[in-house]
Amino acid sequence: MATGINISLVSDVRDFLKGTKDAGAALDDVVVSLEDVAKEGTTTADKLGQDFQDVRNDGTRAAERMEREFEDAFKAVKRDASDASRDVSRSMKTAGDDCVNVVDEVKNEAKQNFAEMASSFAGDMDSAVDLVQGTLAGLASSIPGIGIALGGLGMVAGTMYSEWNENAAKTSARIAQMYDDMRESGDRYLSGEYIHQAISDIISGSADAVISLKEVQEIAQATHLPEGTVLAAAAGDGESLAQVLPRVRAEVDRYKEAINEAKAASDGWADTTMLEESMGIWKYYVKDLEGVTSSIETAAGKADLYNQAARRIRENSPGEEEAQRFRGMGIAIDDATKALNALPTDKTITIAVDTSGVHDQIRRALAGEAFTIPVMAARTGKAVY
Amino acid sequence: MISVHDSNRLKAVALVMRGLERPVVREINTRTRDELGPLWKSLVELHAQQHVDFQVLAKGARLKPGNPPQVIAASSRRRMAGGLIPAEQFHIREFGGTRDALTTYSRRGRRGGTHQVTRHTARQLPPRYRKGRVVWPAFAEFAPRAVSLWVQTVVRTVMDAVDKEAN
Repeated sequence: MATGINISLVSDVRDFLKGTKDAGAALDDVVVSLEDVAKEGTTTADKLGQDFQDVRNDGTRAAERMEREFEDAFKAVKRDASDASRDVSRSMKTAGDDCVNVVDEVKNEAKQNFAEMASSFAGDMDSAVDLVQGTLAGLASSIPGIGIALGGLGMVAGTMYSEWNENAAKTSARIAQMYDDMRESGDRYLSGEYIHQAISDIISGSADAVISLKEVQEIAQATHLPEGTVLAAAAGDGESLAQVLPRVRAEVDRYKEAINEAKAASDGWADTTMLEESMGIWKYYVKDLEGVTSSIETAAGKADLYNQAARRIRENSPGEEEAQRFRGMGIAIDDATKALNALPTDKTITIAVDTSGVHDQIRRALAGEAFTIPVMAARTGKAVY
Repeated sequence: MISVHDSNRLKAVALVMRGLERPVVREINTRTRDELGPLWKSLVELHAQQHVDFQVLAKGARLKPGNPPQVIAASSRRRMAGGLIPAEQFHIREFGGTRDALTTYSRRGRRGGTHQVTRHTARQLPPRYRKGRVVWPAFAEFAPRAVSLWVQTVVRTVMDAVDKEAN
């Protein structure tokens, strides 16, 4: 369906983001380009007490410079469409390679600067001990006059990037914890102990929490469910998840309907961006809770595998009584072997057996002569005569 | 249109936007919409030369914030009196049409019966404009300022978030 005119202010953003594997490193490389914006934005606003609107109207040098820069870029696109399109359609691989090289250079420089920065700004940067934060802040401090302003920008973005990059690792760790819990309990669902711990994590705002307490409250308020139920769902309680997830999905549908209604009422030109943004937030909630469900399923799958393997081992192994008997036999064989090994190579053994019948016959045949058995090389596995 | 590859600033902003927390992104989007939305609408209206341009192109002109923000125009899907649907046929008003086009059609005569006539049927259209008449020139004027302001908005909002966090 035709949607009228829809033009992005900047092209290739999606491809650029998709092709940037290490977003934190890429940001390291380019965040410095915002130095003048960060500096003038801060100093102007702080010094003059201006608000955001005033900063915009003030036409700061950075803003003017930037506008000219973008104007030139637009003109360049116009002037030489073929060159521009070649630039635009550059392979992501080439762009990525360039990025990696530059990033390495900048990183080394930034690490050096970090040491200098740490000595000067140690007092102000107590909370910024993380290497990512420090590196970015160090880079900022190396630029005269920018200092903390750009460092702040780098820190916030850098920290958020670290969190963003850690999400995958967190999910893996969560699945591993869930798996351990299920393996210990032998169930396909999480134990009360695990869920209580997860609830505590959410309430205390732990880094391991799937969702924040504020988000739990928002969900509870909108879905008219008790906060406890939403908390338990986010913590991994199956029954609560079954209650909460459909309600959260229903919220997304509700926003979808509202957007469609608004568009239908205005023949498509209604501004529905606020509704779309709200729907986006609820989509995040669905994603969070679905993440919990899928983690549980993955962990349960792993626990199943473990249980199957364990069962198989049990089935193939002898029973306890039999194993005991085997162990006893093993010990007896060991003892016998030791005793045999202790024997000299040539030994005469008198075997005390009831040979009366034989003796009678022998006595009769040999008239009472002694009967001896020579032992040669008395070792296990060899013939005993 | 400017590519993200043309400017490190744009790369930085695109990356920052992707990594930010939801409330900060929400705040950036609100500010972007509040600042740039009216500007875009007024520019499109300024370039609209005829009443029908308002009806077809300027109606529904708005800014959709995001990473990157998008401008929207000619989004109405209501069929106009003559049958034109702006969202589907805006190009006729934006880029003009072949005014010399001749169409042969059947019509009923005054004395009964039908006969064929050949007429100019596109005389009401604007002439061809390769670079657009309303929305495209408005965009050319709007884009550098808007991109610049978007970059400032992102930086400023992040700085505010830092201040808020620090306090």
